[in-house]
Amino acid sequence: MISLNKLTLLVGLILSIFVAAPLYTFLSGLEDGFNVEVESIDEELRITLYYNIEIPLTEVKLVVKAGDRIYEASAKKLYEGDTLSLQIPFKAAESLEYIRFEGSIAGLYKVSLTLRGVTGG
Amino acid sequence: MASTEGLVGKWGLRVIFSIILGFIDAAFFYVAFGVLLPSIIEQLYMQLGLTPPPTPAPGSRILLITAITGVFIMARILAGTPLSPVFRTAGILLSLNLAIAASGGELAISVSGIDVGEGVQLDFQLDLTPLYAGIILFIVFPSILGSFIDYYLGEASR
Repeated sequence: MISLNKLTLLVGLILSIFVAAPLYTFLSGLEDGFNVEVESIDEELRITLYYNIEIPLTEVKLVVKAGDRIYEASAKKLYEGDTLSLQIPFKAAESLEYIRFEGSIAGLYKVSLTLRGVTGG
Repeated sequence: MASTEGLVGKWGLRVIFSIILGFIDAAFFYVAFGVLLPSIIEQLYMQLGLTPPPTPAPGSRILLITAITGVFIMARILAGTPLSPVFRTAGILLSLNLAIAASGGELAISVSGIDVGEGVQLDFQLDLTPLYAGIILFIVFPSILGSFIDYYLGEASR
C-alpha cells in the first residue's frame, strides 16, 4: 500500500505540473506570439504590439526609450489577439534605444523582452 | 545465548530491510527531483530554442545522490526515533538542491543578445521563482511535514 508520504509527493508533483502549465503554454506559442508593427501617423511614429498567445498576460507594459525620454503604455490584462500601442514623436524616434515589453504570465511569471538596435529614424 | 543471537538476527534483518527501503525512498526522490523536474526546465529551454544549462559535473552529482541515498537509509534505520524525520527532511532538501543544480543553479532564464536579424537584438528574461515556490509549497513542505506527522502519530499510538 502507498504511504502517506509518497501520496503527498505524487499529489505535490501533479500540483507543480499545474503551476508549470501556463509557463509551458506561453513558451510553446512564443515563436509567433509577438508582432511589433511600426507605422507613421502625422508627425508621430506608432508602435503597436500584437499579442497572439493563448495564455493571458497581466500588468503589461510597453516601454520605449528614445534619447533621455521614456514612453510607456500599459494594460491590466492582455488576451490572445489584443494589441497595445503607443506613439512617439518622429524626432524622438531618431534616437530610439530600445523597445521593451514586460508582463506576468497568468499573473505568476514575470517576463520581459527587449529589442535593441531598432532604427526608428 | 540463543536470545542474543535472535536479537542480533532481528536487528540485522531490520538494517537490511532499512537499506532496501532507503534505496527505494532515495530512488523515488531522485526520479522526482533529479529527473522529472529538471526535464520540465529543459523542455522550457527547448521551447525557446535555447541550449539547456550544463548539468553539474558527474563527480558532484554522484556525491549528492550518494548523500541523498545515505540520508534516506539512515532515516529508515532510525525509524521510530526523533532523528528519523530530521534525516528525511535533510534528504528532501538535498533532493531540492539536486533539482536546482540539475537546472543550471539559476532561478531565472536570462538570455541577452539573441540576433533576430537586420541588426536587431533581443534580450529575454523569465523569472522561474514561482515554479520553485510551487515545488517547495506543494512537494517539499508537505513531505517534511508528513515525516514529522508520521513520527508523532507513531509515538501517540504506542
